[in-house]
Amino acid sequence: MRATNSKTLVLALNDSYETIQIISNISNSANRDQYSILVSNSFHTEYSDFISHSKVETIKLNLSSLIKDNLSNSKHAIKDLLAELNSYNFTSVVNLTYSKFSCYLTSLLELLSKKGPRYDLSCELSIRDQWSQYLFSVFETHAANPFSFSFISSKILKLNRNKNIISPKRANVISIYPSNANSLNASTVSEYIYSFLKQNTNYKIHIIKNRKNSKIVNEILNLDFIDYFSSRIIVKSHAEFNQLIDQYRFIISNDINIISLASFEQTPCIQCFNSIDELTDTNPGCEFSFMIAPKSEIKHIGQHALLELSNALLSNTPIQVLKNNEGCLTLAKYEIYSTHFQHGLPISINLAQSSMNGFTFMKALTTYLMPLCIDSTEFNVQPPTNFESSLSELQHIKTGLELAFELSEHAISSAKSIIDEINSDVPKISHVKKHSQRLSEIDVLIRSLSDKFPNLSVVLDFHLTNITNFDAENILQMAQHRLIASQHLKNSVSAYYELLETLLSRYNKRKNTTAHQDDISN
Amino acid sequence: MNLEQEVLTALEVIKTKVNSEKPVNKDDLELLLLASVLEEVNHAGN
Repeated sequence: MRATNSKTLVLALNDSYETIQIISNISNSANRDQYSILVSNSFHTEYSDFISHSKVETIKLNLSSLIKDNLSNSKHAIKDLLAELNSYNFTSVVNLTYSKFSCYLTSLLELLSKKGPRYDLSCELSIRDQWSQYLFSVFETHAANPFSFSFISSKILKLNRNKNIISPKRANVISIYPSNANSLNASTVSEYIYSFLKQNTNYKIHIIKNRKNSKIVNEILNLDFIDYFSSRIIVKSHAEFNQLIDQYRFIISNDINIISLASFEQTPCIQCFNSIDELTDTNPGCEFSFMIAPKSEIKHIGQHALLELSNALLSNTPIQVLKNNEGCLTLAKYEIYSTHFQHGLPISINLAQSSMNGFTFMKALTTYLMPLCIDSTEFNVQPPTNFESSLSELQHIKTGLELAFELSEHAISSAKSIIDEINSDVPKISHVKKHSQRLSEIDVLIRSLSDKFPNLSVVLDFHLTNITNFDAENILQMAQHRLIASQHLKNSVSAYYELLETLLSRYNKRKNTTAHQDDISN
Repeated sequence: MNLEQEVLTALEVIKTKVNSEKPVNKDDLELLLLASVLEEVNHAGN
């Protein structure tokens, strides 16, 4: 099939949840026909049912077929691949894979518009669009990043979510699809199954077994609890799961690929993981789903927590029910997130705000401020309120913001000096060199500030990625870019600071009022 | 000489170019693309 006039080629070559989410988001978007997705042969084979159900146009790529017996033949195979991809007449390419192969491929495709990383003619990695720069910069600093891959890739692709997605009728069956990861263990799951079936007499449970998780599934099935309800516990294969996925009332799993497939079908999930960073990064975005991870002191998700979330899902107002239970001891041991859609994009909402630390606080601020700074999208985010236990941490963050503000001002001054010098009648090279050197020193200081203040790494690392990726043919253009980028940093840091100050002063005011009322009543 | 050795030898020329701050051309990028294919296929094989 040949592409129409304005079709975009999307490189989605990871055999993992990222590719499932890209296909899912494009499929659920109103502009799905404008995209064609390059996927690996192995992904296409493993997820052929999902791909055909998604109705998204895909192109298969078999990397092994490019390797021939000698260099000349292999080079021909590469040229043939490029000729084939260029023959589709795509108008643009978006690289969402971040591998060496995809970056070189992006460079070589003869297309005017390119998004995502690619290599330039100096063999340096180059990323021009801001959301791709953001995605690149949070690879290493995910603990402070509130946005999921699903959110960021939808931003890069400019997807418009189709609002008329109809959720199918659900059966009274839930599915448990454990992987061997340690957030779910066999005894907890079997205890949960026993309690759930005892409480919900009209429900059945499907346990999904494949060649990778047979160890944990066998352990679950061998425990005594299971025998009481053996007629209502059915083992299903992965293929059967694929057929039933849109009929389940909800799914419990610690496998992000499974959760991503379920999310495509709008099937609610309880997504179990070892750390909350993993959850917000990988959140596929499904309304009426929960993401849960234990806080550091425990390793597994307990059966009581799973039951609380199940009950919340079985009622039709899960978020409200859970909020009423906020103080409940069972859930206090966990970080729990849910998804809320705004502007057609999934935002992870922290439901257990009672224990906000510096990271969760800054994540909430970043959710509001970063899209505003990058493309002026304003999300309606609940401001953090319960941060009493992290006041000293927030003071520390304020110091980091002050230092970042100072550095951005120095960078602005140096960039301005370079521009003035070059525009003068007799520019002095020594002055230009001195200020360029100063800019390099500022970059080093910003990098070390990011290491010292990991809560601020999202904003600082994004700036560092931004300043190294620009089109400049001479030092004047470089200085102009640095001036704009440093001004952006200054504005972002000021916005964080002001918001932090406002929240802290509101907190102090509230505290003083409470103390005053206590004095009066005494 | 097998394919991997041929690619490595050809990459040396590109490396020299990059180190002396000369721009690479389309043929060089195609070779780098091939090298990345070899890397990924070997990685998947392991």
